[in-house]
Formats: sequence, C-alpha cells, structure tokens
Amino acid sequence: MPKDTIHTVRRGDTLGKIAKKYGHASWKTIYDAPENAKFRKNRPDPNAIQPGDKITIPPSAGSVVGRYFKNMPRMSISIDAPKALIFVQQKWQYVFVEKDATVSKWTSKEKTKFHNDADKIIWKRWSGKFKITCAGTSDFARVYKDTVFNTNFDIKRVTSSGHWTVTVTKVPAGSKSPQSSINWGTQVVNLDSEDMAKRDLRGTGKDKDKFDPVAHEFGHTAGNSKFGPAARGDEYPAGHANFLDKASIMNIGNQVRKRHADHLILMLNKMIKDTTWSVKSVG
Amino acid sequence: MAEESVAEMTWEAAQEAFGAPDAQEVFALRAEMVDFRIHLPEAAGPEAVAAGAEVLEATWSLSAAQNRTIWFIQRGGTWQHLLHQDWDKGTEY
Repeated sequence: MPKDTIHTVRRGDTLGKIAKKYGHASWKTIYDAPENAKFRKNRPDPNAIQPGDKITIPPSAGSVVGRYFKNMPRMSISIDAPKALIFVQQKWQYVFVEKDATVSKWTSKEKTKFHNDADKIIWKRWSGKFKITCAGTSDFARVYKDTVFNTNFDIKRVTSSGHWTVTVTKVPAGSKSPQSSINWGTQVVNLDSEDMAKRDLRGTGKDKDKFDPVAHEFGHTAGNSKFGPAARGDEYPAGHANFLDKASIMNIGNQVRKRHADHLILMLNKMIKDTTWSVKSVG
Repeated sequence: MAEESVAEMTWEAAQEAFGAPDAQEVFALRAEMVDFRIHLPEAAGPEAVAAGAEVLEATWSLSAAQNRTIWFIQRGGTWQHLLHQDWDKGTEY
C-alpha cells in the first residue's frame, strides 16, 4: 500500500486551500476520506481546523499516473483513466489469397475495404459494451474507484509485427463461405471475403439477430479461447447451460456477455499493482 | 484408417473402428450453420436441409495434434456417413 501524505495544518490553512494544494477539486474529498475519520471526530466543524492538526491527504488524479499501456503477444491494452477509457487493440498482419483461379486477384482497394469493414463490424459488436470498474489499495484504485471505464476494441492493419496473422481467402461473391477459424497458439486467423455477410444462424429472419462471423472470430482472439488464460472458448456442448444462450456472440448471435471480458480482466489485473478490475455491466 | 473407408462408415462402424467418441451431439440441419458445420448443408442437399434432417456429429482424438469429426445423417434407419474432417486441435471456429 502506498504511503499517504500527511499535511500538518498551519496558521491560515483552510481545507479548501489544502485541497487545492494537493490537486483535489473539493475539500470534501479530503475531509470525508476514510483515513481522516479520527480527524473528523476531533474537528466536526470542517471550518474549524487548527494549526498542528494532521490530515491525511488521499491521492488525487493529479498525483497518480492515470495512463498505462501494455503490449502483449495477442493485443495491446491502454488505460486512460482521465478519459475513463480502456482501449484494446490488435495489430492484424494480413495475407490475402485467392481460393482458386476462378476468382480475380485481390486489388489494393478490396484489401483496404476488407480491413475497414472488419474494423467497423468489430467496433460495432464489441466496443462500448463492457463497463468496467477498479478497486484495490493502489493510489490509482483509490482515485478512480468510482470511475466507470468504457471499453473499446479495435484492429489495426500492419505490415509487420502483427499480433495476429490474418489470412483472408477471396471466394466468388455470394458463394458459400469456407470455414473461418482462429488458432490461439499460432496467432493465426482464417477469414474469407464472404465473412462480411451476416448469417441468420438463429433462423429468426431478423437483422438484429444475425451473426457476424468476423466479430465471432475476433471474440476468440480477444481471449475467448480454450487455449488462453481464461481457458474457455465460450462455445459449449449440448447440455451446458450456456449452450442455450443462442444470442451470445460466441454462440450463434451477436450479443456480448460479461464472461466475454474474462481474459481482458485477467490482463488488466496484471497492469497496475494492487488494482483489480471487474465488469460492472454490459450494455 | 484409409480416407475411403472413413467415407463409407456408418456410426456403428466408426465406433468399432475408433472406439467411443470424445464428444457427440445430434442437431437438425439448417440452411445456415456455424463455421465448423458450414459445409453440411451442401453435403446433405436441399431436401435434407428443408426437412431439417438430424445429423450426428462425433469427434475422436486422432493424435496429440489432430481430431477427427465425422458427421452422420439418418438414412434408412441408420446413421450414414455425411462428411468428415480432420482438424488441428488448436483450431477454434
């Protein structure tokens, strides 16, 4: 646990002045801090502090590091506490191939469009869903314990040092899509040019229920893998309760669930000492 | 086991050849299937899809690295081979 700053009250000090000195927006943050319970008991009137009084100064946003970044083998995670944002980014290094001689070669424009479309789908299905909070004894956790962090997911096209090698097979437009898959161990994703088409796997006929193959495979790469630390691909055999959760993006729907952030939480918990994270809600 | 013989196996023959599967599931065919099963509608044909024919999916471990899944379809009162696939155990669909 970090050592707290102790302020000894001098003549002319007020809680407002002390708060300003230590970067707190309000004197109440200091006065109401749990560490100052004894002080409050002695000085029930916050306007009547006395020289010699000792006040514990809790950490402030201005006194703690609020931005963290960690690059990992399969993704990078940025924490921007002042903006209440967690940003997960994967670098995708593409290999574009054609199914056979019946399909034309990928054009530069088509490659760019594929990436941009994949990025949009992943953003739509995964970003802004998980509302995450932190707790703990670190200064960071004490300052940001009431902050609800939004979480965004992004893919970035790179030509080297990708987190994932993404092979995209061009197939005739409108043809049956080949199998799409990922391999957590080798950090490989296999997609195809028909994976931008939504599929009515639930058979409801409703657009809102349709499945996005790219968003599903991204879910695996984001940690929903039985081979990752979370040890669960979130795909279940018949008989398991979650097997019936057809609306799940890791099943045949497009909705994210709290459990889909398990890997992210595991990674966040490694980023800031004495700080633990949890999903407060899923939007 | 030669590929040709796998393609001719009934469910009973497959169990005799490979033993009890590590996983098995029965489901109805649909026009749109998840990626792992994406080739089944084409293999079964439109009539079977329209009828929502039942498919038995059974998976065996072939080696430390490979699984084998065989899909069977109910025809003439027995589970007949529909399609099979050997796949890397590290692959997730």
